[in-house]
Amino acid sequence: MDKEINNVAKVCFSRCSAIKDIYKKNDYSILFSHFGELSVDNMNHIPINTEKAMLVSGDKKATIKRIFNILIEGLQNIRLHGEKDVDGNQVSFVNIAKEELHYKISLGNLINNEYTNTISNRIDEINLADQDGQKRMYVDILTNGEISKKGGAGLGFITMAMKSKNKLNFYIDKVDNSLSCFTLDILIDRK
Amino acid sequence: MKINNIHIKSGKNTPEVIGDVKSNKLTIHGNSYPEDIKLFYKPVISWLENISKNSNKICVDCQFYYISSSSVISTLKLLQQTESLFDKVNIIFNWRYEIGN
Repeated sequence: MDKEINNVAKVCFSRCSAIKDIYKKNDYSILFSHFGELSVDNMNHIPINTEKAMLVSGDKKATIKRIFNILIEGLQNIRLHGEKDVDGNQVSFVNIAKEELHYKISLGNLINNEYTNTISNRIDEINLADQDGQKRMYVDILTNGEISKKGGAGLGFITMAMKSKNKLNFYIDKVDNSLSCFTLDILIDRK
Repeated sequence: MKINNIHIKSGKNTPEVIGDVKSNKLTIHGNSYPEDIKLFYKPVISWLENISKNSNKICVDCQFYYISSSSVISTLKLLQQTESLFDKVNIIFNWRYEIGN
């Protein structure tokens, strides 16, 4: 049992560490890093503390708002849709990093293997659309959307893409026959 | 039927809601990104349903700073609900936002 639990955390932790290593190699400084379950307090404090750090760094109000919104969507995605391991832990991670011209936010959580294709197709579809296309997709979901039982609205990925103004980079690392570690890696220009 | 005002104080991730019976005005101001957005707006929708029994006009005034996508959909649903409860010509809807947002 322990071996299985450790393996789930191990795969997610490896991805989290690999991303931080890439950030560091590219001269990013890590502002915040969290691995483990995401509490309601984390959900509230991470965006607020990031906003405070960005104000101190002299970032533009518009950039701060974009990053705050991305964090709200990303963290809620983890809390609402992140699967739990066999021990009931909602294994997840969050990294926030910055360099002179950009911020990077990576968000990882467990997903059920049966949704890997749906998720990757959805993100590919968003990445292929230009800004007008993304707006049309957003309005379409807004007009026809409903809040799911879990509390999601189906607008999370598209909102993050629109706010970042960049393609959504993602990784899906298979953990075992039922779970994978899904990671979003988002680039945000500071300008 | 006596209808009371509604006042929900703002929280860390929820807006302040003021429903005033005398002026037929519903004001929603602040951040809106709670996890259970349906639960948050439930009493607000009940208040709208109640006030619509005594009045056919309403003013809804919204100003959000940070708003999650699920809150955007819930706000839209709230407005659609308002539209079904009151005469369209008697609804004033103010959506306040910062320039460039």
